[in-house]
Amino acid sequence: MTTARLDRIAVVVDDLDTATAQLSEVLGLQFVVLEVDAMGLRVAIGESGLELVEKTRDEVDIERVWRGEVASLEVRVDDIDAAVAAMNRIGYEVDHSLVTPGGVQKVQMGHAMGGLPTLLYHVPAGASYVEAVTGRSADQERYEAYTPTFDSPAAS
Amino acid sequence: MSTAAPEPRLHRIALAVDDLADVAAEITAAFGGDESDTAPDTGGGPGRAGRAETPWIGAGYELIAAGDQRSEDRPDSPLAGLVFAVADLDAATARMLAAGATVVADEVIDGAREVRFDRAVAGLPITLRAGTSAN
Repeated sequence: MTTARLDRIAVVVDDLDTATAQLSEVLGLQFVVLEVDAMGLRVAIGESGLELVEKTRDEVDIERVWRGEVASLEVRVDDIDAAVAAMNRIGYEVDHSLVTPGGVQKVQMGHAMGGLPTLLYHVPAGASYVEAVTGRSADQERYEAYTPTFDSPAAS
Repeated sequence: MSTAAPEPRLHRIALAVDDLADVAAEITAAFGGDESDTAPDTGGGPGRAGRAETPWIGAGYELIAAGDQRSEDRPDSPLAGLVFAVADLDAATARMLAAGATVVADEVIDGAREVRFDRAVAGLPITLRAGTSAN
């Protein structure tokens, strides 16, 4: 049995800059903003477990897996293949997967677990999340032209 | 915000679901854990503020019956709460209040004090939990 835990959430917001500023001011959360032009998104990630997503186009393909304001519920696993197999056993199939520039594999299971947008991911031990996702130093405050590599045409 | 304070970390995510028992069973089947890991928290049940049905907690999830928690102005959203572990709960609570948030509940969940707020900050249903451990 793989070890797994719901560890992160991506929430859709109308104004990412305002939301990140407010959360930084009130709670001290720190974010790195990624310009994900390939997906029509701006995404604020960090080590707190909360990610914020803002659309940069009226319609984006990935919206089809969102559920209301919840873009994804991200389950951190120690073995991505075993976790996908476990999901398959209870009846859920892979919707699409992607590889981040830093080499982190993310597998979107679509609406699983009672219709929740469930995503599996694995981060190598010892790496910070931001560094593992981007492949770049977490000291850099802002990234541009972040382009994940899709291995499924469903999300292109 | 003091520069010495550690950054809050998401402890668990509360989600409103239509069939709590079925979803809990699927999570356990897919992600493991035994009954001791996934038993309902001791703070649940009718006595817990605003909730008629005992929530289920396991693997970072808190499942809440949709009728108990789903936001009226966000009927399509399953998001019921983001629980952040904070090193200094009183100080963090004071900042939330100063930012215009209102306390919805102040309770002990799984042995730690938690203060639940409305969506006044960044439009998110934030709960602060005393402690620094994500788990």
